[in-house]
Parts: sequence; structure tokens; C-alpha cells
Amino acid sequence: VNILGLWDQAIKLIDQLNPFTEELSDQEKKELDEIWKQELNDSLGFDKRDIAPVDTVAVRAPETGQANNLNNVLSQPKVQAVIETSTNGPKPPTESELNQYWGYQDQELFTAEVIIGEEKMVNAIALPIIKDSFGKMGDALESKLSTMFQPNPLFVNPYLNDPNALDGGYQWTYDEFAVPWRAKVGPDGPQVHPEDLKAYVKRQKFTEDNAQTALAKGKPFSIMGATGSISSRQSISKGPIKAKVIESTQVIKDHSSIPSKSTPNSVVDYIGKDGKVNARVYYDEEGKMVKQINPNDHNNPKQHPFGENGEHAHDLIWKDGKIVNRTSREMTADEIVENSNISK
Amino acid sequence: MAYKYKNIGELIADLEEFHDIEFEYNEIQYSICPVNGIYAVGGKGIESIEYDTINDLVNNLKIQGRFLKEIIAEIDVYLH
Repeated sequence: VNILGLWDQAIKLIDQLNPFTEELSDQEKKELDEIWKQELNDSLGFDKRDIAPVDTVAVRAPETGQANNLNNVLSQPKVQAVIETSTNGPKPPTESELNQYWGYQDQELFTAEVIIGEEKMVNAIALPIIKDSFGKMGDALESKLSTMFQPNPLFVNPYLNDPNALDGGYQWTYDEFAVPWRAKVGPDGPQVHPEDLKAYVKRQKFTEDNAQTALAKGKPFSIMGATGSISSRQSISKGPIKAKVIESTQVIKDHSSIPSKSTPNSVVDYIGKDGKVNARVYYDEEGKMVKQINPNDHNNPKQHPFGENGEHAHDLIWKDGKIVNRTSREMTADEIVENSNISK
Repeated sequence: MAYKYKNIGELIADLEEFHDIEFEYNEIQYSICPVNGIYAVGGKGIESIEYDTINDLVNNLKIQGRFLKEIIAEIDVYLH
């Protein structure tokens, strides 16, 4: 028996089952772009959007049925607060609404600020069912309503979190492009069928990444009642975050200098004055330092306007055997999870 | 126990390798971050200062009224 061969097959099988590994083919991208372009053409003429303040959402509700949907959402037991709702029929947005709302100014607006307990959302992943009608393929900030609400981008269909909803899914039947959900209730709540998740992820990889970023930060979430022709395409389900916490291969406590080269593929933690990890350094397969993760802003927030506490990543650029530049950036969703054991 | 630079050359060598420097002087914490083509100096309650070159930083940065190069052996270095 070829053990290595079996192992390779097993890895391939796992990869096939993992919905996060599949990318859209060029042909699929083209087809989806065509679909969404058509959807855009068929849309309701929304022409303005802006980034909403955290915890505030605006919901367009052009039909009575959708207004009822919102009421259903707001009546869910996990919804803890509703700051305001209005369904006052045709009216132009006020000046403050124009500043406040993310976007689609139309005749009927709901506003609702709804907070769901943070602890209930820790293991969840936002799974918008379908791309926003008005975005561009492959551009997270353009592609999806939920991504417009950085850093609070999650929209929740509470039906998927309802432990009594044995089918676990709430399908917006009037959305012709929605992924049909098949779900079951597992120990951690409803789980979406892998094939459905896969179908979804093929469309929404960028949004899922974005949602994971927010989830990994453990923020409380603004919840928009799932209603209207846009929000109805968004949902949430339980699911795994694929990244895993990384344990360093070495811990340095003596405040010695960080070497540019070290053991290949090693991850080294450097302890700061407070006894906590102050820098995590990643070395590549050649032993070159390629990335640093810092859990704080080095007392220089201007230069490190990142994360909750200034946590950030640096990439080291090598040329001709020397480091020639070092850039800083936000940590990715995966990096937030991977380095959550050094966050402050 | 903190690391002590023996001379300014050690600091320069660290910066040339793009190391963040975190140090303490008279119980105030400072940092020097080589990033995005500049050398940014920060500290608790201190406005960020930016230098274009290491030379510029070494020759001009003052900490509590004293040039860094003058007090280099006195600072407590916790990250470099």
C-alpha cells in the first residue's frame, strides 16, 4: 500500500470538500458578471450609496410584504435593541438621513439599529446569499451591501440562528439568484450544507473574507432586518473560520535583536517589557524574515491606524539578498485568527 | 532586563535592517518604526515625528531635550 499516495488522495479529497478552496473560473466569473450586470439593469434605480456609521443601517422596503419581513426580524428573541424604525411611506430623506444612511435613497426607508449579543455570534460567519446588485465582481467594497459597513458589515437573517428552525434556513423565494440553502441544526447551531456553502462561496469569497475579519475582531454586530430587495439576499449561518491559531516555534525574552534570517519556516515571538509578545516574526522557506505581526501601535497611532489596538502586519521586501523596504497594513482575517494568541 | 546599545552604530544597523525599535528613557516609552520609506518616531503622549533617512534621524532626533545619539547608551531597548 502506498501510504504517501493515500495521504495525497486524502488531502485532495479534503480540499475538494473545503468550500473555501475553490475559486471561480474565468468563464464562471464572466457568466456571473453578466447575470449581475443584467440584475443591475433591472434594478430599481438606486443611484447613491455611502458608508453608514457603525451600528446604523438603512433598509429599503418598497413593498408591504418586505416591511412585514423586517418586523419579523425585529421580533426575533435575539434582537436586543431597536433604536428606530420608520415606515412612513413615501418621503424624501432628511439631511441627516442622507448623511447617515448608506445609500439607496428612495421613497420608503426603514432605519433600524439592532444589536445582537456578541457572544451569540462568535462562531458565526456571515454568508450573504448573493452578490449585491450594484457592485463589481471581485471588489469587496463595491460588491456587496454588507461590505459597505466596515468595520461592522454583518447582516443577519435570524432564522438561521433560530435553534427551533430545524431546517435552519430561510430562503428568500423571490430572489431568483439566491443559493438554495439546505441546512441542519448541529451542536453549534444550524449548519449550511457544504454544497450550498460552496455555491455561495464561489460567488461571495470576498465578502466572506470581510465578514470573517469582523468576526475575528469580536465586535458586536449591527443587524439589519432582512428585508427589501437588497438585504433579502443576505443571511448568516454558523460555520468554521478556516484559519487556526499559530503557535510560535521559538520565544525570545532577552530583548535581543530580531535577526533578518533564521530557521526556515519558523515563527518567533519576541517578548516586550510587559512580558507579552511584542512582535511575532515569520520566516519563509529560505529563512528570510518576510512578515511581522505587532499586537500594538508602538505608541505611535498615527503611523499605525490599524485594528482595535493598533495591531498590524509588516511585510518585508527583499532584493538581492537584502531587505529593501518594509510596509505596514491591516491584518487579514486569517492573520487575526492565527495571531489571536498574541493580541492585547 | 533591557538591552543596551553600545553605540549609535548599533541603532543604525537595526534601522538599516528595518527593525522597529522600542525603548525607554527616564521611564517614558518611545518607538522608531522604519516603515513605508520613512522613519517614524513616536512615544506616549508625543506627536509622531517622521524622518526621511536614518542619517536625518540620528542627527536630529532629540529625546527629552537631548540628542538620541548622546544618550544612546542610556536608553533601555525592549524591541529591536
